[in-house]
Amino acid sequence: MALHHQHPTPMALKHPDQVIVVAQDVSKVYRTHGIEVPALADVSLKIGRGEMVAIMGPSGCGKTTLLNCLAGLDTVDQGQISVAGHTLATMRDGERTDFRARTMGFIFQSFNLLPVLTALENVELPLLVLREKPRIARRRAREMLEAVGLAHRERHHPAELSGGQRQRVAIARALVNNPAIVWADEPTGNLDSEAADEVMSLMSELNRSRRQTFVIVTHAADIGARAHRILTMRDGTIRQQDD
Amino acid sequence: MNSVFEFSPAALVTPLVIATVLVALMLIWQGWRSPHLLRIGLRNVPRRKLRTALVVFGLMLATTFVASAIAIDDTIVLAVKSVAVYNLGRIDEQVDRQGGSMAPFSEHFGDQVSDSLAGNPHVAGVAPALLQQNVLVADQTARQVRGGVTALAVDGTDGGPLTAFSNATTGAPASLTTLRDNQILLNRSARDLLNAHTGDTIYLYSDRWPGQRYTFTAAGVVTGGLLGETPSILLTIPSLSRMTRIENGINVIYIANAGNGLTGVSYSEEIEDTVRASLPDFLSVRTVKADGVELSIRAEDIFGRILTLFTLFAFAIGLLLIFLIFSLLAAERRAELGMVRAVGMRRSHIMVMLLFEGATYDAVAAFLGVASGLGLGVLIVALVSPVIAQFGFPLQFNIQPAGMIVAYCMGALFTLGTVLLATWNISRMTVAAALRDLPEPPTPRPGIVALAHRAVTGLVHPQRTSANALTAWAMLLESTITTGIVPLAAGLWLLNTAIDRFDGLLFALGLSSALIGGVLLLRAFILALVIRIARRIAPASSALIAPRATARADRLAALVLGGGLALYWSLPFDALQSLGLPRFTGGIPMVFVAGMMMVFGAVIALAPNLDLLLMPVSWLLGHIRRLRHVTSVALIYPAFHRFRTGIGLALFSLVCFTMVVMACIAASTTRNYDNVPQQASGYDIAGQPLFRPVGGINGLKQGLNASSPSTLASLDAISTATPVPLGIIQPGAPNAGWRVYPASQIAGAFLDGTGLPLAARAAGYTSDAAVWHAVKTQPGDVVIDASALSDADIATLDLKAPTPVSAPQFLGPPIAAGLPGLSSLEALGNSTPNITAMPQGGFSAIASLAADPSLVQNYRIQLQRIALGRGMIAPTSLWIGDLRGGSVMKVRVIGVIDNTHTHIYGLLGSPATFAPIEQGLQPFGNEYYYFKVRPGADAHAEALALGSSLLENGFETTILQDVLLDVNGPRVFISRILVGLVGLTLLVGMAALAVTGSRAVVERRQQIGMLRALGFRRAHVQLMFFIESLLVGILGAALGLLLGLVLCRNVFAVDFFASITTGLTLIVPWRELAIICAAAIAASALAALVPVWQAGRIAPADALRYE
Repeated sequence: MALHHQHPTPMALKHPDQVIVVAQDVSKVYRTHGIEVPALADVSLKIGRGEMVAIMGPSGCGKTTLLNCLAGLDTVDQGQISVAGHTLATMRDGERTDFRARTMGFIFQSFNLLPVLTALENVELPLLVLREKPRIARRRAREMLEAVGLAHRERHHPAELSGGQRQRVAIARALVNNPAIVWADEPTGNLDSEAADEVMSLMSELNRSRRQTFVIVTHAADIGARAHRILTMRDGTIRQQDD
Repeated sequence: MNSVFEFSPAALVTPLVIATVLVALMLIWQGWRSPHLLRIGLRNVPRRKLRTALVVFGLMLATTFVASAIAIDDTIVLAVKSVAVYNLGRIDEQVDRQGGSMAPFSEHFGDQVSDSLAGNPHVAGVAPALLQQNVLVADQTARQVRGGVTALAVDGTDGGPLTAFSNATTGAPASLTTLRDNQILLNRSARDLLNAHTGDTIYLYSDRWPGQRYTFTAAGVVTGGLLGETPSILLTIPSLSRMTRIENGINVIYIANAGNGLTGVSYSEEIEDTVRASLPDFLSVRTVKADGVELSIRAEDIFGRILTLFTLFAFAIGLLLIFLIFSLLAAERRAELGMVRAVGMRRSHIMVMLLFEGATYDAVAAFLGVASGLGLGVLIVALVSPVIAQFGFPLQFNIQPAGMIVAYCMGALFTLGTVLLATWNISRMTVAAALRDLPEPPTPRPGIVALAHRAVTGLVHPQRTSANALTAWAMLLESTITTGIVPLAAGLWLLNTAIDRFDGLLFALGLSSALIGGVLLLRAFILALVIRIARRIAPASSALIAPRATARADRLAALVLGGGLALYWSLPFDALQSLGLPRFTGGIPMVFVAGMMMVFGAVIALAPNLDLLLMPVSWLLGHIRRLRHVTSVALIYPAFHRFRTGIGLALFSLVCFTMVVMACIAASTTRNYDNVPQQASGYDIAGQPLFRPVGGINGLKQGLNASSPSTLASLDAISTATPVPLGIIQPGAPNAGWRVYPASQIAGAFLDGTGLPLAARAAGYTSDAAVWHAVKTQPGDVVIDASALSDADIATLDLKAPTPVSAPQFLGPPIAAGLPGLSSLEALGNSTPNITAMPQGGFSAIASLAADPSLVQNYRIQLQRIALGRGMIAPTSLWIGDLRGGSVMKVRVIGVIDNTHTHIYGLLGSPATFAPIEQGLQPFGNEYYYFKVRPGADAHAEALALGSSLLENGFETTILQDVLLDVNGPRVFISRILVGLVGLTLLVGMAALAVTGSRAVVERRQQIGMLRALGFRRAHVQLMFFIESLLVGILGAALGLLLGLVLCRNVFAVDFFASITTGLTLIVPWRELAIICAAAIAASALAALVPVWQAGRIAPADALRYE
């Protein structure tokens, strides 16, 4: 818990009105070939603005499903989710997509950078989605790449970058549109320990400096230890919340 | 299937079957040796049923095209043969006097022929007969006349099928034995032309019995036997003997071969030899049906060539699709293949495994391909049948089993070969990269010297390196190919050989190979140099410099190599001739190779540089703010996946290219045939008096007024023309001398310009009407058609070169000359006009034309420096004179008739213009009349009424549309079939785009999920795939159009079809090409629907869930 004490206590914990994500009794069942697999069962949680929350648990416990549902990438069977005061279930697919573009950023284990685009082009893509002027989008993407320490690699395609560099590009892309919340699904899963440490330090730094909310799905204890709060899941439910 | 297509299935069937069986045995043997590979390969087949169905569909298309082309070709050949048979009935051979004079000979020669053929199983009947050609028949009851009818008299008792006539209405057998001496029988053509009925009174006239008329009664209409579809009548032997004054003699012996009238043609040669041996020298044996069939097939051979060309392109397209499908199929399983490699399978095992799977698809696909090809053939024939029914063209779907066996074997073997090539290509993988489904990293390879050393060591010390010796040699060969050494050496060798043999195709291939080798060698050399320098100057960053330098070198090499190939093969076929090098020789292989090289060259140059090409498009689309993010990503993907885009683009370009080439060839070869009203210049009926002149327009009108005023009232326009044998000289022209050209004195509506459109008029004439007014009122003012101009003048007038004038047109009237009913030879009693009595000087040289009308082209006038610009000529003076003698006079050309798309020929002037030179001379040709009926009037009824009203003049009428359709029907029909067939290649293009699009969706599933997470709406993702497909469609259409036009220009510039028909010029059917391009782009949009639908169904959470 030593690392934990390096972080200030998030505002959200002290001011419940600063809550950005609310999930209430969320349930989801996967149905495949007539077999029903419960993925989430009555999950309720709140995440505050500027908070860095880790969702942990063994494989198959529903971490990624919860993240996908919270981010509006997947639908729920029961319950309500609201992000920044907007109830996801009431939105149409298109509205939800636009909402994601404005409000959220994503970081994934396999980076999910578009291989056909350079690092700079990957980073500026969310801004183009938001119809930012190309010149401004490019400038901001450069600034963001600089912020993650990859200004010198802006013309490189993902295939020409190391795993750590790719994930840093993915972080830059997630943050370039200044989202209220960043969802990270196993962001260090494909990285060696040194690169993983770099990436987590970067995310912590950005969380601190930009006051952006980070929700990180991980099964690595040391990653969770860097978060303000850990939600531990088992069999589709949140069993424990540790500060 | 026969000589119309350039190979004979009968000759191919045995080797192809042997090869197919051998390949099948090899596969079975391999399967027996490696049952586990066979099992894995086969288990992949039913894994995903829908995909298996798609693969089989894609694989079968190549076979489908071959099978349908063979089926259609068989049908065309049968139809063309049938035309010959229909014209000749059951007559296969004909014995008559040498020289075809139809002079009589003794009846006992008939017995002699019968004796010589007695017992011959290939002979079905012999019939000695009396024949009189070119009889003029007048039906007094129907009041119609018809010239050029064949009269026949034959003993009806012993002719076998030659005398097996049947009633044309009931089909019941009709015997000649009941025919009386004052009766005749008509065949269907004669009945239709004369509007005859049983019981009609018939008069017969002929040069053979001048001044006499014989009267008969029509006893009925018969068909079959020796009667073909040419207008004919049957009489008793005593009747025709009496009229022809041939007593106790015959002038022809007909022989019918066994079979159905068509199949017996193959016995002709044998029968000819047997009969000839039994006859004296003054009698000849002619294999008339075999000759007719051969002539008909040769006449339509142009379409056989076009069909061959199309089949080659279609086959190449099909094979390209197979390559693409199999490459994508294997790419989909790359991780799986990586795993089986990881557990110990060799590359060869992977290939065998994929080959088993491919062979299974192949066996089914080839079978389905043959079936669908047959179905396609039936469908196309069924679709065009109604169109051609009006031509009376016999059409019956025909297919030879040998053709289908060839189609199956060809399809199966070539498909398997392509699958093998694809599996060889895709089985090259780095196991680690394949397992993680990462892009294939560049493989470090030893240098050529090291490889050579290893290979030679393997030879010298086989015991040390035996395992690797073969690999070393294979790698050495590959390296020498990829670095350009082998292509350069092969190219230089080919060039040397080609120059020795003066072979154009070999030369072009050699030069291309040398170009490829040279560029690759230069690339390898420069790249090695750059990397070496980079290592010295900046060793730290050389690892980064090397791949970038390689990428740039690849781009540049592709641009130079592909661009060079495309440009070289786009050169006119005779471009290198001026340098003393061999010119491209005509021939299907040349056109095919040129087309493939042009398309592949262009694609090789473009595909790696697509990002640069698309920059302006990207910039342009970037202005659509709402879709900027979509277009920026959508345009990058095709440029990134170069190989796949390249194959897709090559395939789609080739499809569009093939369609463009076929459309241009079809338009150029049938331009003068398929627009019948235009060919007839808007006139409906033509007529000519065969007894005595009508007396011009006034005489005709008086005659009609007296007998049938209603007929006169139903005519919109009447024109008349009388051919004049003219010698012409253009004073002041370089090498001025007497030349000849068709000429007619015209009257009636012709003098108002009706049916004679002007392409240019002389300076000073403000309208076409002014020109015609001058021609009508100013003796000496004439117009001439564009064929009389030199090429330079035609170009100055911006006209397309018309078809050169032919001999029948030289002798005939201005419109549709030479056709039945409009043949001046028929009107002149089948005798060559006496033009040997020439005036002084140059005229005498032209006398030789009387003996050989084909020489007309050598003496044809070509007016020079008459054109001033588009639509304008200088009033040009010519001297003219009648070739038969008399005075000469000066005329002034003040207008040029546009005959680009019509058959209007001649120097045309009013009767007053020609009066001075015709003074004292007999009329040269007949009077020809042209009638345009009022809208709503029935041309056939009016023609009958005209013939009836002017019976005393022996006025023979011809429906222009009918006769033009009869003559041109086959060509129009074949052209329609070709166009229909070509359109189907678009299916292949669509399949290719759909398959690549679907594969892209599968590959990019996770990326799609990410894009959706980033804010791309479902429609945005779908639009991306739509744009990608459309991009290939538009680029393919543009490339295909451009290169297709270039190739067509080259093909027609060297008169590629000269061996079949001369004077063909390129007609670019812009409207059809616009439709083709629009259809291609629409097809690419349609093909995108599959990936668009698939992409739309992907849920972001599912896509992002990684294994």
